Amino acid sequence: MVNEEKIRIMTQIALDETKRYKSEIEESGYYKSDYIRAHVISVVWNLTISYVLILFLVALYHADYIFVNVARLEYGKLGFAVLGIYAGIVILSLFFSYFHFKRKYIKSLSALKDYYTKLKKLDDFYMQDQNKEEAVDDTITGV
Amino acid sequence: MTQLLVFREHLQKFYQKYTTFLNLLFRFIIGFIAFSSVNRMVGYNTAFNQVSVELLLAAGSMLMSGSVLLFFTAAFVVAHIFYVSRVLALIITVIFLIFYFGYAKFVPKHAYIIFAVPIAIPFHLVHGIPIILGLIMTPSAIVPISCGVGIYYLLQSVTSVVNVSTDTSINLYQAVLQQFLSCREMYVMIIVFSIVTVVVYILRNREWDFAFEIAIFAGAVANTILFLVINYLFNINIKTVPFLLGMLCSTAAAWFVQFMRLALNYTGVENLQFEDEEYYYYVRAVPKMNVAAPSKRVKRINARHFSEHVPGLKDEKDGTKISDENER
Repeated sequence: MVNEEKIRIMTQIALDETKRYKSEIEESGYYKSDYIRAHVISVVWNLTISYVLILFLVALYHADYIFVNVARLEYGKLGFAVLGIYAGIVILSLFFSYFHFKRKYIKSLSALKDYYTKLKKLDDFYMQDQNKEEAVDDTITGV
Repeated sequence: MTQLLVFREHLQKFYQKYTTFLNLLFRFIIGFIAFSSVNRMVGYNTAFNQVSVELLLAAGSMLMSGSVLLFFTAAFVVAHIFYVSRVLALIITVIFLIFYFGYAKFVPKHAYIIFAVPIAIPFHLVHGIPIILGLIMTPSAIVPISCGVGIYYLLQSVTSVVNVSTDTSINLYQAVLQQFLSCREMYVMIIVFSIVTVVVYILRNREWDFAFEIAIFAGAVANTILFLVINYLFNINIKTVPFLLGMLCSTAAAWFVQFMRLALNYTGVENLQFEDEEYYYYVRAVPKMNVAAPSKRVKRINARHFSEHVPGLKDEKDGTKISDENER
């Protein structure tokens, strides 16, 4: 016979898994340190690509000047400035992304409490069903 | 008001009933508007600048997710610009990539706002976006709005430079960038939209009756006054009548969005006070307006049933004479 309460919980779990807590569930498999490290590396990587592309645009804009003065450019100073700005961006992104993803991980864990409660309820239903089946088996065998 | 609430209920039920079909239809419409807007803005490639291509791509967008549609729209823009200048196509591609890696990858939802702003500007409906985002988001919405405005004026700079220049070298890029950075309209739009977003956000968080409606009205008034005053002082080429009409439609759209999202009944406000171990609470609870849509039950009375209850009529149907008994 159909158990309405069980179906209601299963529907809610399905909704949680596909919509409500989709990203949280995907990320819940990580340990906190792994989660933060993976995301911080991703942030630094994406910002590095963006920075390189911006440098490319800037270089292209000043292409005429660069070609004319290619021998007279102070590459040491230029390299120092480029790397200095990059280091600043990396340090800032490391700092902010570390705290952002740490907070996000804690938030997603607390949001998932509701989801785990539903899973526990569903598990209880299965346990009850299993116990009933075992009880029926006992009567048949007459043990 | 009750009729509006009933209308809202009907609309929600209608959407729930035909969700799959309506979602496909909306995707088609959004895709069509996006691709036709790109064609209007930078439609250089005549092979792409056709209604049949727009319809085909819009039909394709019915099968695409939101992010794929964004990618194809960006690729469509680049394809058009590639037709007139390879250098500019490269520059635009790099700028889109910077947006993707530096911004959209971290906040994917903001990419849709960046996408919506350049499309809404030609229709003068863009004024509704900061009002709506002020209602549903935080002032962080200023960033994607500014990026959207920036992309629109970048494409405008591309078109204006390509239209007057025959150069195809790197100088074209310099000309576009100079034109883009000297565009006063863009700066005005970014500043005004930022102010409007913040004003709407602050007002809608007040504990006033009709705070949301007041926020929409104040946002619309602030937007109108700021644009008209700046236009008067700096002459930034705003056409007053289309601007005012657009402003009106945008305000109506913002109100409609708010009404569909949340309608509050301020006559039923309850002010509660209670305490626990740590705090004393002053709570103001405003009930939501909800009206059950009346379901019309149409009772069909067909000829057969009707004839069964009318003496004589059944006989006529069977071919016999009506009400013989009465004649007797």
